This record gives sequence, structure tokens and C-alpha cells, in this order.
Amino acid sequence: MLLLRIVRRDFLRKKSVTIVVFTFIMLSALLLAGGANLVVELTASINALFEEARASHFVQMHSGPVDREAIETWARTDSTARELVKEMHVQEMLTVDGSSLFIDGGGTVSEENSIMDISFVVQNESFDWLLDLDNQVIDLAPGEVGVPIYYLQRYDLELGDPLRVGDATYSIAAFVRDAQMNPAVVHSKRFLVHPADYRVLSERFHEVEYLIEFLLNDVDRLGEFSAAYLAADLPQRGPTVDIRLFRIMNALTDGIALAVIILLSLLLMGIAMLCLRFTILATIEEDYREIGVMKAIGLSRRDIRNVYLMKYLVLGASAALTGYLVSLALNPILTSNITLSFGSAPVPGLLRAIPLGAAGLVFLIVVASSAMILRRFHRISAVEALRSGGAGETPRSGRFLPLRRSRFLDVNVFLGLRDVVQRVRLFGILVLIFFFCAFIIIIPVHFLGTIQSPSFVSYLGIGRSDMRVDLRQSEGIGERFPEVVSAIKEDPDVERFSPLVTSRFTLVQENGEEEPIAIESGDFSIFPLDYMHGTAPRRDDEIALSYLYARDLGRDPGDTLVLLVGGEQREMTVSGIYQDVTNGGRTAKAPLPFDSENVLWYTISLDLVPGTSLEAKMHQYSQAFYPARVTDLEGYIAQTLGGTIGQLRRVTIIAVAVGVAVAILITALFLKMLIARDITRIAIMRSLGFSLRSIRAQYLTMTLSLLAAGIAAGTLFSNTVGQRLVSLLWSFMGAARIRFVIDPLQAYLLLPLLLVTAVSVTTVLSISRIRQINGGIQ
Amino acid sequence: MNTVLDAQKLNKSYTLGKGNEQPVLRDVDMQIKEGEFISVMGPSGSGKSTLLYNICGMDRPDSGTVLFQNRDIAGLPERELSRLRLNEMGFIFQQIHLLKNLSIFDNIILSGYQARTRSRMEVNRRAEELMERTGITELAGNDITQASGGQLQRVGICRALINEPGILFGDEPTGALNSSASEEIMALLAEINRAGTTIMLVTHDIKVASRTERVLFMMDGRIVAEKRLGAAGAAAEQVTATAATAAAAKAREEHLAAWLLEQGF
Repeated sequence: MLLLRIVRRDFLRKKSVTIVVFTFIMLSALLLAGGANLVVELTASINALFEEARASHFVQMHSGPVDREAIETWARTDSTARELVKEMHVQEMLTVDGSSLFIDGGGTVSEENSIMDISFVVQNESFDWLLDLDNQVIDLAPGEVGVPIYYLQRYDLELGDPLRVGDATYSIAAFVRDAQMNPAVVHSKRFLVHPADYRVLSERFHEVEYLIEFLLNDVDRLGEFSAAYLAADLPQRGPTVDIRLFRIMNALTDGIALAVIILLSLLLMGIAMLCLRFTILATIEEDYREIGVMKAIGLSRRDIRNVYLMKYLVLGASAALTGYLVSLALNPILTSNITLSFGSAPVPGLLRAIPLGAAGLVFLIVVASSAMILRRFHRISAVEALRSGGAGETPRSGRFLPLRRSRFLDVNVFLGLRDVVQRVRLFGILVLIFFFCAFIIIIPVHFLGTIQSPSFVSYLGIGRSDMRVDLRQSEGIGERFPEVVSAIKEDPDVERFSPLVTSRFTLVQENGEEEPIAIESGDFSIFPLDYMHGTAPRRDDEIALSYLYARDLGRDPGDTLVLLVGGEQREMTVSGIYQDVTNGGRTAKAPLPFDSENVLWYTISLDLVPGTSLEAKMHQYSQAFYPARVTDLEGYIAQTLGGTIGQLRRVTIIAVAVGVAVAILITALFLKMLIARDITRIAIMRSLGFSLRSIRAQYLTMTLSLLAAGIAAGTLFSNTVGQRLVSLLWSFMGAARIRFVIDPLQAYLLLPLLLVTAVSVTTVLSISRIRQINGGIQ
Repeated sequence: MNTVLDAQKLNKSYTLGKGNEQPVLRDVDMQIKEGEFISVMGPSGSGKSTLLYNICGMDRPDSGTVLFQNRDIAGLPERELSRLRLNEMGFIFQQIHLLKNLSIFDNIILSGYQARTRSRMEVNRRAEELMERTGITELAGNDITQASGGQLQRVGICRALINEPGILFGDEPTGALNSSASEEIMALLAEINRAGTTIMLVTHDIKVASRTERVLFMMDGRIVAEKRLGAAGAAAEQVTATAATAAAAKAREEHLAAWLLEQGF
């Protein structure tokens, strides 16, 4: 077929250009297909895990005695419960303090400074099963232990490794997938042991907590059930959670990496489009006369257009298909975390097509945009094309920015800059691409820097302090807490401290329905929080809400809501809204008198006198304040968001590599075309006595000034729109106004320097080709 | 008179595909004396343009030496050669090869600014002077698309002279011009030569060659003959000025033509 022959010839003639455009289309198809696959896998595997584990629909945590009979009776008799409850049970969890637990290969490092609540349990009978890595219900022998995958990732454990609890040693026989407590952001972890071992352990450890769990007939009526449970006089000293929250928490770690991948693929697609536009325009310009001839001999515009379109059709199709195929090979790497956390679930055939569809979408966009750019053919007149024989480009006037007006700039720098200004339409594309490169690099770097910085705690709903002491609800905690507070008060190493108590209140909605609300109370002025809107609550009828909570309740500062405080309704005014990604993003703060019966947990934030060793103090406190957990803020963030930070770090490395690679490829491609176009000009200057160095200086001036513009725009854009984009992403998790923590050295020196170096080296190498262009310019 | 340029045993061949070496220059010797006005003639493919590019440092001979002002330039590094071309040599071409995106004036001063041997003000002044001398003052601000071929070749000459080179090389400088424009350019070159600039032209136009003092004839990569026509004197300047000068020029041309015929041109 003639058309295909022309296409083939064209590819061969412009090998490098074709390869670069192909690469970009392929990469964007690869990432988009990979991202789509990630979405499909994530959804399917979470669903599969929840199904295999028979995950609970509603869970009430409780510390303190539990009357199982009473709960069962309620489930049988209450009208709502009778209708909704399918199955129920109460799981006993034995709390083991971190200082007694040695996981790290059974070694010597205890979990003393862990922020996790560590519990030992036995396998449930009929639902909420703990599964192994094959999603099978784990059945342990005595002496064996099942360890949550959180620790597998943290310590790189292997089956058969020893684990020590106090003086007893167990062998790790399984890694536990826990539909409820898998993710790092959930600060509770369940270890599985044989009932016989459990009995032995409970002689040593005495603190127990209960999970009161329900499976419902209709998950959609969860809200109704939850209200009914809380209205009843049943155990509820502890957080209430449900399957919707489990789902969100589970998706979170991978969700962020996913969002970055999709963002990256869209940016790459943008670059591919620009490249296409650029190459198509250059080709048209090059073939201007040829096109004129074709028109003159009577080929219709449509015929000519089809010749060109065919080329991009073939290019787009092969690149998108290759991208899709490569994504198949890469999927196991991208989904490794998902596979570990949830297992790989069979994806229904129809959903399998989604990644292919994503690659198809890239193809369609390529073809559509090529067709659009090729519409330019209509504007080529045969006569004009034959007569001028070139330069579809607007003629460049020599009168503009005359050389004779330049007083100080080096001639070559001047010529380079002048060229940039004169051919601004052509060079604009390059600036745009450099802008994308800078953006791709800067956003993840900024974000990573932000999430790793201590100030990130303000998105965790806590003020900034050196150290935190957390006490969870447990027997006798009501007495323990004042002891801890007074000990801290008397410690001369403590500069300031703030005890905060989170307890359960009841929120009365407009329609009269009641729902539980966990409210933190105390003095919020000691470690102040950044508020998105409004201020901290000061009076006892003021309340501050987390961003997601405020959105759910539809409240703004100044609005009111009704709480049950000490059995009486009290109208509270919303004083402010803050950001919080903990606890599913739903928390509240108010200086209310707390009822020790309903306390969920206690926290003491404190700053040390400068010069005091944080390490030593943490160690001292965790010994002294057992069973309190003592963490510094960085540790708190690292342990809460460790998985997310790890994923993000990988993505950042990829992003920086992609950004630099794109800059290099584009610079090389661009210079190749530019030099081909400027060949006469270069030859003239060479014959006049301009050295290679002078000419290199001209092109370096061009590329570097374009790069500078691109970096400047990219940085500006990242710091404004990019920040908002990241905030939008995080708003689903509770932080809607992220402020980047920018390391100026990195952002304004190292990263630009990296790009400048890459582009300079590429320019110099590309320019070395002109060594062959000498005076022979006949 | 001093020898400005002394080429000895120049050899150059081009590779046309594998194992197919085409010699273009074979043991060429030639000298140019200071203030001389010479031309090289020969049929297409005789190697005259190659000779020009090899003695001016734009191309490098395979073997042989080129002494320019007593310095061997065949082995000079690229940067030195560029400097030499910039400061000591001027070039004019058949296709004038001006930079399209610069104005006429900027084209002229470009090499002057690049050389950095004079202040930019001085370069501007010299450019204005040259333009006046060549009669194109009014074109200064124009784009190169707004001038005729003859005018553009004058621009080319101004550009070549901006750094006051000792020698001016021309490759068919009138090849793209009509006969009256060609006459004018030759008259201008003669005037420049009389003012002291050494000139070497490559041409196949007898009319052009007859205005020069000495004609070298090349064939198959060798200089096979040489004809000394002697100083052209006033006759070279405006040959069409009077009937007498026109006749003198005509005679000189016929004399050269007869000689060339003898050489087998």
C-alpha cells in the first residue's frame, strides 16, 4: 500500500524524532494503563479481602467489663437490631505493652517507642477472621504466632523467625492480613496466638480490651444501626468504627501513590501532545514545497492530510499498545504493596479491559490532536508554497532588536536571546515542556518534604510539641492519668505541657437522631493548632471541628450544633475548623468538662527545656508511665505515615528521573531540529570566523534561557496551583489546605541545577554535531 | 613584495563511498603576494573552489602546508583558525549568505562585534564608512529581502571588510548577478585592491578574470598554467566609462580568452 510505504519512509527519515514522540506516547499510555490497573486491583483486592475475612460491619471497642448476655439480649430484642443483626460476637484482646515485645528477628529491640496498640487475640469463630498471605483463615499450633503485615514490612521478617513476649518465645508461622487494622494509619495491631498460649499470656498481662462486632443484613442501614446501638445502654468506652472507615483506611496508603501516578501520566500526555504539535509543524514546514506540489498536481487536501494522519495513526497505535504491554510487565511492581496487604484477587474479565481502555484513550487523544493540528493544511496555498519554497514560519524581521543597539552583551549571548524572542512561538513549546518537567519534579519533592517535616503534625490535628504521652482507655487509667500529669508537672526538664482528654459525647442532629462524637478537651492555647477557618474554642459553649467532620455535618464557623453534655442538651457554636487526617478525618475539640466514664484516651503534649536529651526522656517516661506510649513527633509521623512516605519517596525518585529524562530527550530532539533548520546560518557564521565555541554559546543561551523561564514558571505554579492540587488530593483524607514546607536549598538551587546541568550537557553534545558543518556552504 | 600566502604540495581527496577516493587537489603549489589581485579559473570540477577553501582554513588539506603570513595554518586548532578568518581574512560568496534575521547593517557589523578588537562605536562608524564607499548607505536599516542582488553583494563586501582583513577571498562573487551589476562589483573590488587589500577570486567568467592581474588555470586538481595580465590600472574601474576604456577592457578579455583556448578550456 502506497500510504504505508510513505509512512515507513517518513519514519526512517526522522528516526530520532519518531523515537522520542513514540517514547512519550508510550510512557503516558504505560502510566495511565498502570494507574487504571492499580485502581482496578485495589478495589478488587480490598473487596476480596473483606469478603474472605468476613469483615465486621460495625465494631465497638470497649475497655472495661463486658456483659455479653446484655448485648446478645439487646440484639435479639431491640427492633432495629433484630431486623439488622446477622451475626455478632465479642472478641477479647489482650494488651501487651511494647517494652515486653521483641519482634525484630526476636532480637533485642523492643517496641517500647512504638505508637501502636499491640494486642494478642485468638482466631474468631465465624467472622472477622485474620487471614494469612494466601487469604486463608489462619489456624495456629501452640508456640506459633501470626504477625501483622505492618511488621513484616517494617522489619523484613520471614516465616520461622522468633518473636519474644516477655520471656516466652514464639515462632512466626503466619503473617496476618487484618481487614480492620492492616494500614499503618490505624494505630492498633492484632497478633494471633493459639488459645493455649493466650491463656498463658493472660496470666502475665492483665489488661484486656473488647471488640464488640456485628455483621449486618443490610450494610446500607449502618447509620441506623449505629444510632440504635449508641442509644442503648451498652458498653461503649472506646471508639466506634465501621466497614466504611476500614475501606477508606485501607485504600489510603496506595491511594496517594496512585494519585501521583495518574497525575504524572496526564503530565506526560501533555508533553506528548506538545511534542506532536511541534514535530507536525516542523514536518509541514519542511515539506512545505512538497505539499505545494501535491496540491498543484491535483491531490485533494484530504488526501494529503491522510498521508500525514496515517503516520500518526500508526505511531499512536503502536506506542499506546507498547505502553499497555509494558504496563502488564510492570504491574506486579506497582501492585506489590496491594498484593501484600490484600492479596491478589481475580479481577472480572470486563474490568481487566479498563487498563487497555486507558491506553486506547491515549491513542484516541493522539489521533484527535494530530487531526486538529493537521487542519493547518487548509491554509497552505499551492502557489505560495511553490513560490516561497519554505518557511511557513512568519518572516522574522531583521529590524527588530537591532544588534547595533546592544552595548554590552556578548554578541553570541545577544544573538541567542534575540533568537528566543524572535521565534517565541516555536520556543514557547519548549518553555512549556520545561515547565512540565520542573512541575513533575518539584511537586513530589515539595510534598515529600512537607509530609516528612515536623510541622506536618498540624494536619494530624495536634499542636507542635517535642513529645507526646498517650494513654489509652484501660482499667485504672482514670487514676493513672493524674499521677502522670503531676509527675510531668514536677519534672524540671519539662518546659511546658498540656494534658488533653478525649471523651465521648453525643451529638443530636436536627432530625433528632443521636450519634457519638469524640471530643478532645483541655487548654488548646499551650500548643496551638493552625486553624483553616476561625479560631480555637475558648468558652465552654464553643467547639472546633475537623475539616471532614465540618463538611459532613455541613457546619461553618459561627454555626451551631447540639451536644448532650452531662445528660443536658447544650447548644455549641463552631469556633473554627482545623485539618486532621487521623481517626478517619473526623475529630472535634471543645473545652468541656469530661466525664471520666466516657473517656476514650488521654494525651499529654510537652516541650522539654532546651538541652535535654529527647531520647533519654522518652526512655525514662515509657518506663515510668507504663502503659503509656511515649513518642516524639517525628516518630509519631513516621510510624503513622511511614508506608505513605515510603511509597511517596519511590514515586518522587521516579518523578525526578522522568522529569530529567524528559528534559534531556526534548532538548536533544529540539536541537536536532533546530540545527537542521539553522544549518545555513551556522555555516555562514563558521565561514565568517565564529568558532564552535561561539556557536555553542548561542545555542546554550537559547536552551538555558528557555529552561530558566520554564523552571521559574514551574516553581511558581507548583508553589501555588500545585499546592492547591495536593490539598485537593488530601482533602479526601481531612487536610484541605496543605502548605508546602519548602527546603530553599533543594527547591531553588539543587533541583534547578540538576535540570540546568542535564540540559547544558545535552546541548553541548548536540551542538558537537556541527563540527562537521564547515565552510563548505555553496 | 612579501608573500602573504604560500601553499606547498596541497593534496585533498573526497571519499565517494567505500574505497572510492576522488582526488581533487594534487600537489598544488601556489603563492599570493601582498597587494596582488589574482583569479583562479578552470572548468567545473577542476578543484578551484576546493583550493580556495583549503588555503583559507575552512577546510583542511590531506597533506601539504599552507603558510599564511609565514604561519603554517594547516595544523592550527579550530579556534585559532576561526580567529584568523575573523580578523585577517574576508570572504565573499556567490550566494551572498547573509543572516536572514538580521538587518543589513547588523549583518555588516556582526563580525566586527565578534572580533572585539575595536569598540562597538568604532565598528559602527567603520560600517557606515564602508556602506558609503560601496554606495548602499540608504539600505542600513533594511531587511535583506529589501535589496537587489547587486546591492546584497555590496553588503557582502562591506561585511568582509569590516575587520580590515589583509586578504579577501571570493568564490564566484558575481556568479549570481546580471552583467551590469557584475561590472559594478568588479570595479569595486579593483578599487579595494588598489587601496591595498590582497584579493583572490575563483571564477569561470573570463570577464571577471580579465580584470585581475594574474590568472591561474586549473585542471584535474592541478594548476596547469599561469597568465600574468599585469596591473589593470584605471581600466579595471569603470570599463564602461568611456569608449577607450571599454575597448581596452575588451582587448584584455580577448587576450585572456585566446590564452585559455590554448590551455584547452
